[in-house]
Amino acid sequence: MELSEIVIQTLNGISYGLLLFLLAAGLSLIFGLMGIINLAHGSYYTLGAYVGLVIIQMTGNFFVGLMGAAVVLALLGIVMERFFFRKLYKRELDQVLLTFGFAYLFMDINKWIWGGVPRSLPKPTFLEGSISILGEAFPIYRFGIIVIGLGIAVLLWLFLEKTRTGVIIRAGVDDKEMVSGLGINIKLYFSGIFALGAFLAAIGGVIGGPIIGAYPGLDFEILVLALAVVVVGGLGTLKGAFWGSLLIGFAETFGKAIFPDFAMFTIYVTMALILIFKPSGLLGKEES
Amino acid sequence: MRKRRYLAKIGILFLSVLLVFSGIGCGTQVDNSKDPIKVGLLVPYTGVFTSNGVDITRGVELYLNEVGYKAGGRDIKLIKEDSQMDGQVGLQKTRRLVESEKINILAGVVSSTVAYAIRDYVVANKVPFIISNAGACDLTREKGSEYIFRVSFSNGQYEYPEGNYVYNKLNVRKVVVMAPDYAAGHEKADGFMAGFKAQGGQIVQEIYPKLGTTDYGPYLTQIKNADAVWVHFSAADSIKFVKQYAEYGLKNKLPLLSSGDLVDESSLLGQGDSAIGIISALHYSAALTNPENQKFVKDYTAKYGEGPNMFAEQGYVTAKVIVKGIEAAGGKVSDSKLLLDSIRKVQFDAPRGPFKFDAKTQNVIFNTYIRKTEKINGKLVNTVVETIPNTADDWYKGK
Repeated sequence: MELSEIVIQTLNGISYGLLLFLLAAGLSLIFGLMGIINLAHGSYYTLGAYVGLVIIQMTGNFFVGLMGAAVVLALLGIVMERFFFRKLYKRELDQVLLTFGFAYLFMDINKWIWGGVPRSLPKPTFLEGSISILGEAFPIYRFGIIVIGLGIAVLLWLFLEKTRTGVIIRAGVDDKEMVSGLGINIKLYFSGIFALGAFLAAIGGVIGGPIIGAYPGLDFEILVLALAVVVVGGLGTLKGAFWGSLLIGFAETFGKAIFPDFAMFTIYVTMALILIFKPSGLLGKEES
Repeated sequence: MRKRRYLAKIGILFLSVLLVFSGIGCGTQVDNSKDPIKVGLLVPYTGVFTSNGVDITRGVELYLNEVGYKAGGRDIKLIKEDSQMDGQVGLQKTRRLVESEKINILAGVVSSTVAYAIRDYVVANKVPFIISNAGACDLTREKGSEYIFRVSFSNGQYEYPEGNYVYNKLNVRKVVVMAPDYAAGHEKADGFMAGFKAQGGQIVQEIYPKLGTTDYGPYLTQIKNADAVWVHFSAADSIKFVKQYAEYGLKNKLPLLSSGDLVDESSLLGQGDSAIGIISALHYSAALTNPENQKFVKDYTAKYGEGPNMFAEQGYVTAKVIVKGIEAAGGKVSDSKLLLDSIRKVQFDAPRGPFKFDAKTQNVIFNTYIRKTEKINGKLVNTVVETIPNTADDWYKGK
């Protein structure tokens, strides 16, 4: 591979990885705090893309659509937690089954409202086109993804490390009983973390929209990738989700570049190797 | 005495029950011209390819409406089933259609997997089967049967002449080929490459990404040293690919050539201006100007509020083949030899242009249209730039 191609593929890998990070961060935090894998997480992503499309068509502004979809999905996350998951408190298996049910429900609702025809989101005009790096073209929009993805990663990190809420969430991931013992009502934070997860997934859906679009079946396609990320990165930590996303992004991108015929294979080999040598993931919490 | 009378009563009852049942049995054998002719339509109404199933159904119903659900003096009853794009489900639904509904003709099927799964059952039960889409070549070659007809295409059928066209008319010499890694992707790519290489063209690279790939960026970065890129992608993949192709600045550097599926009328809206300039080959374009197509587009748009695509046209032609076949057989659908002969000889002017079957394979012979995607009056359309008449599925014989 030439230098220019390595540079472009690296940028491809970073932008793809950061898109996955938006999805995996929420998935990982919900697991960390509540102990459930939210199988409806891909639906948040897809629903976010659809809602974003509707708002962009109404307002003509990409960023209004981005924030609008994120807020709508955050509200949906709160409703789901408050009226469904809370009723099954401490029954993790039932909760996971419920998320699975929701995934199918959302899939059919999407198809009912938006039909089977694949949709695509418009880009903000100032991110149209491509620029030349060492003689190779790279889309400006993907730089946009890198900037937004990194920005959100930093904000999330500040939130979890520097705010009181963040500290409580991290403590809850480590030991729920102890946090409750300190007089903090940890259950109140469950709604918040669901909202945050859905918020981030919707941002991912809208940002990915101009490249990937929105169509029936996308929810499960994207869920598989997010699950691969959390397996590799380790569940329950932001750092794990971040490095896991980049690793999977690179594995898939360079897999496609070096072995075009076996791209998916590189993701699963990465997963298998991590599971053999570090079963809890790169930066996952060890089971106590 | 009493006992005897009792026995006689039971005997009469038994006999009458037997008669009733054999009567029902006879009903399927003997034509009762008052009964409607039952046509089963098996297409996906759930899953990723739902829109194709819906489009085909709309086309079928549009034509049946035109003829008032009548053919050869008999009523036609359409019974729809959801294949769910699954071979096992498709077979189960086909059994139900044949055994419970007692259909006379089966039509539809989008996926070749479903077509292969039901093929042996349909042939064993002697049900005439009109394929509305599934393109796997062998369905009308090695796995062909006098009961199987195909109105859509065999994979490679319109791609082969396209290979010829781009070499001779567009002076393309070196091509990168990309298609999804499943049977239809490979068969379509093989068709194009055979046609292109037969003229002396050179394939510099073949790439087969996974069906449903989300990010084509890493593949697009590799494309080099070619005059053009030929691809086959459909549905959601076609939108992602076309947009990303433009995003990586390739649109203005290397002409994009494709099977017509890439720029299906239902995908153009999502692709937007990225699709302008794509050269594609197909047996149909909604932009055709023959009177049959103008009427079809007008009626279809009036009924459904959006224009037709290849799937809708294939549904329309499926229904017309069935109706014309039944008419030629004088409504005698139980005479299976007569019905099959009648269907085989059906010929008419369809929205796509002249329609007929290849008498040997029972696969369609059509015009291949080379189209160019253009924006006319703010709307993206596939303008026909060249017509290659009488394309049969016979290219593989010369290989």
